[in-house]
Amino acid sequence: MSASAAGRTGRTAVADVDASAPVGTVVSADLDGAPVTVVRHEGGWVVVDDECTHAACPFGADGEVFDGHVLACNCHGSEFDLRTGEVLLGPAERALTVRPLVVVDGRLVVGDEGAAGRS
Amino acid sequence: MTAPPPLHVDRTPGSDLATDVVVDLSLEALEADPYPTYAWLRENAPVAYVPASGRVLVTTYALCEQAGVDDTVFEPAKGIFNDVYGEPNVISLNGSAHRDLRNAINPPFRPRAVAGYRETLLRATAARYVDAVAPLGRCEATSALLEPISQRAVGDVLGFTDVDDATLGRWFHDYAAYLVDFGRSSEVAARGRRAKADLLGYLDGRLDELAAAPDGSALSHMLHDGLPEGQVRPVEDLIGSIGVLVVGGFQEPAHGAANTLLGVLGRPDAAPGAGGQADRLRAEPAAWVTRCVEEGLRWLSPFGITEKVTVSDAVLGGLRFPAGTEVGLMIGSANRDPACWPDRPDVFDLDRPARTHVAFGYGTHFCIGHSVAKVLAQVVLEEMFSRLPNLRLDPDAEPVVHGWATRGATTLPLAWDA
Repeated sequence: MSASAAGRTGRTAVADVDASAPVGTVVSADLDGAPVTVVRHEGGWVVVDDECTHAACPFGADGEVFDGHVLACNCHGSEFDLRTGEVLLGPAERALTVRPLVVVDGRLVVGDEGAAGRS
Repeated sequence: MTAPPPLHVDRTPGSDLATDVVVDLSLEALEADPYPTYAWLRENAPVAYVPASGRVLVTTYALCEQAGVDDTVFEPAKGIFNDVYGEPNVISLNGSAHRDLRNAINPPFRPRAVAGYRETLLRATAARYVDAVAPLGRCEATSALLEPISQRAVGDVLGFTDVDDATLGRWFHDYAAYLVDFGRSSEVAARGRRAKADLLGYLDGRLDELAAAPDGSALSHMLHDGLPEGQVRPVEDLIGSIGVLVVGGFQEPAHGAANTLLGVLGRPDAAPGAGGQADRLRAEPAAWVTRCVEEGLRWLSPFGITEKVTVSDAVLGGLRFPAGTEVGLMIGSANRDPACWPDRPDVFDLDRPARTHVAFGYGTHFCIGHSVAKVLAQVVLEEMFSRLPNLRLDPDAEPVVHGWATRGATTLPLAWDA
């Protein structure tokens, strides 16, 4: 997941994701030119790694949300807490990278950058 | 551990082809005990063509992992699995065709789903078979307990709820023998093909029932999932993958449990009351079974090999693998590599620092049954140590461990206080 957006003015928007999609949405998306996965859990929207940390199966094809805040990879069943990225169920061993998203002007943007919104 | 027969490497001068590094091994010697040979190979020729196997064998943890995660170059072998199981099958498929079929098979095998039937189907099946032998005070555990439990439990998950134990056992043994025979016996091949024909005959009726009335079984999901309402996959598209599930599904849990029991009960400190590692299982089975099964799968991996073929030119360990090179990643060897488990890797030890084994393979094709195999082995060990007091190796009989491509305690005489 690209970190180059941090430090620039304006917030980075996630391309092509409908911000009104429901809890449980798991989609592949583009963030600043890099492939990522965007998920809506019961606590809000997050952007996570493109692929599961177990065997690199893409979440966009294999991901599913359970119990409100758990992202499962249906490839081999690894599960991650979408609030922290921690592994809840193997065979994965490495945590996910998780960054919050916020809705600004109907678009999903990275929520942990300090700069003001884009015009 | 006995010394291997004399080994040497024949290298063609001036060649960097993996197939020009030749170590002549007999499959029979490997099937008796491959571990000393693995140790020699890791030291002397970690990438070597073994003519009897038809494959370049890779024996170190690092090189197996490098190839294993590179699964768009080192794809699952096609020829052997297509011969044994038929095409298509979920091992030799790749890309989106693999994903679609795998997703259709997955639902009952995901760890979340397995956790849901651990305390019901799995424990009930284990308890029933263990209770049946408890009055006897001794048994040959692999044939009397572990294979029947595994076949019944996984058979029910698959959807073979109306198939009796003897038939499940025949399908399993005949398919499994065919898979590991490497073409040596036409009789073994004929029996494997007969098992497939019998299974097809059974499925003809069963799949019609499930087409009309889906249930939660793997067969039902395989028929229906991912297709429009009312549409089902034809049996020809499923029979290959069902064979894969019969061999893997019945074998790994049974031999995972058998190999683990042999490991923990075979230690020098294993006698009841000796205060050794087996006593921990006897005193607190639930607290120890998870760690015990992981170490068992590492120490004596039920599948010793994961068979691959290069689909483009590759380099591994400094040697060239042109596209089409048949490869064997020796997970049984990787799991004893001292580079990862430096402290006596050939010894079963609950106290060694935990490090994830590779008994279930790598990448996209990582074993679909990893969770049910582990959880069933855990539950079986719990039930055995709980219901069979002072469980121990039978002092009057010898365990037999056999096999190379798959390796297990095929005879495991146990005794307990009855």
